Amino acid sequence: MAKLANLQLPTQAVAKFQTAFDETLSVVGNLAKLDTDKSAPTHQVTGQVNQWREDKVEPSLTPKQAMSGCKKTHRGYFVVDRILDND
Amino acid sequence: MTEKNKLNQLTLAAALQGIAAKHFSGQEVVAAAQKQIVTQDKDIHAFLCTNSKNNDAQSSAKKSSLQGLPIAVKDNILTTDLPTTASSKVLQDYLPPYNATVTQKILSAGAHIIGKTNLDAWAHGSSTETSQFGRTYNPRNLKHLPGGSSGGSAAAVAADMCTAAIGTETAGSIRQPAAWCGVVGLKPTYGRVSRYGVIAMASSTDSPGPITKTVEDAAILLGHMAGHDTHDATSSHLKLPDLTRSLNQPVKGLRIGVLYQDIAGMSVVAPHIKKAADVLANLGAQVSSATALDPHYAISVYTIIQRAEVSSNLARYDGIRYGHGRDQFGDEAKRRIMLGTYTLSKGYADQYYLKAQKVRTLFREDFERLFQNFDVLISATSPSFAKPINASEDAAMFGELEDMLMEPSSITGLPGINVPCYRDPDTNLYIGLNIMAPMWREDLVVQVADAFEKATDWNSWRNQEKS
Repeated sequence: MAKLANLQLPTQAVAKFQTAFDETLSVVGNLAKLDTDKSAPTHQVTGQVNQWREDKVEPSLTPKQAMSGCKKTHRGYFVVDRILDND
Repeated sequence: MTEKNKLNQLTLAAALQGIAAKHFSGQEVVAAAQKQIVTQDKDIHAFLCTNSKNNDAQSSAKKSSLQGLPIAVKDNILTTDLPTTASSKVLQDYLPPYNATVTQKILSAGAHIIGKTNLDAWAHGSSTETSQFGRTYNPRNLKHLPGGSSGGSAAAVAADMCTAAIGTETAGSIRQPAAWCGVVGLKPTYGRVSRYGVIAMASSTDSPGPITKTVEDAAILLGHMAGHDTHDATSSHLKLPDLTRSLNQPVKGLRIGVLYQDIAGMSVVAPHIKKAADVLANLGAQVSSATALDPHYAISVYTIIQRAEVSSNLARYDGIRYGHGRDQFGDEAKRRIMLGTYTLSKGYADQYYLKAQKVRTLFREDFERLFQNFDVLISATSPSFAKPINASEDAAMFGELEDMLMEPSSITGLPGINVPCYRDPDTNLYIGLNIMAPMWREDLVVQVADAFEKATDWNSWRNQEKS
């Protein structure tokens, strides 16, 4: 689960997290008691659908602003860790 | 006239009145609040950072609406001039390149942001104990929690370290800390206030709102926060009415339903909610008990939906474009991300996520049914007084259980307000009354809350001397 969520868990913490997981799943299991066969899901409550605007460029962040929080940059690019092992 | 060193104790309304009458300036109120922070915040720790400047109050006062008055802002709301950390080491020292819409709105109205307030990290919690920069203490009794996740904002208001504050609520995070700190907290209808620039938690329920000394102050401040925003596709085009028109209005004839008094765990607060209901009945409202869908199911709906949406929203924090790496997440954030990932994963999404969204529909329908017979619904905000320090330690479901009474209205987007309705003379701790109305009816919650506040003596700032 941690791998899927892109998280690292120290080995000694796994048991603690497993217990917490089980506790949470046992609480939320009560939903099975409710009959929702005829219910549509509510994904958001405003009832609004897609909000559109004209495809026009509007003022936004400058590249400098967009990169202002980044520790590693190279010629205007964000630098990421290597993900491919073969050269 | 209020002494200069006590100007921080004024309500927003009284301060605006005093400035208009030229008794003092917004700068002088800021100076008094800054002094209060210096003397009190070392014990309370409501603020993660403070704005040492005061001179921007003078220039922004030209805009006149908020007259340079000191407003505290929860640290999950982006501000370009002050770091925004969400109380997490992942965003330690992060200085945003843009303001949240709600930040920009209050700055444009002339407010002075006095500092950024502490919260449960990523707003995950109901105690402010999961902050990775230290907990906040309840100003009413320092041995107790302020609630959360907007605990810093509620504490800052309770301790007069600001004139008013802004918090956010996903499920109880404005109203519950307001209850525990004995202040007013207004959660608007979902979609009333833009979420642009608010660090996302559960996108389908996050709602910024005011935390204030009085209901009138909440009505004033929300007026400056609300409005459609093209940057937030869920923000409403509906215009917020002038909520100050809902003040000083009779509640005679309003139909008020009292919820949740009989469920397990309510024995401490139920008698006080009954007394609050009697106050409203004596004011002429038609008050009777009402039965709603068991809020324990709302705990489950919220737990699943919130964690699912969190797992998506926090995926962006990878330390590449800004911030630090995911190894800096605290345990609570990791728990929630992983559970959310699980409930959205193949083979489990129907059982958990889809089921939760369908039960959310049941809650919506239940409230629609209730509002056919009632104009507003009331309940306790929290099943308890503020809990002692360390109460939430390592409890995986602490937040959700504490917020049980708020979760139904939060997941369905209803507006709700907390007003103090009892103070224990021995502990100085408070119980809060939660007042809810149909979507878009903030006018009703303000009307009833204001009437209750003015008919009782639980508000600390009531009968304040004219400024």
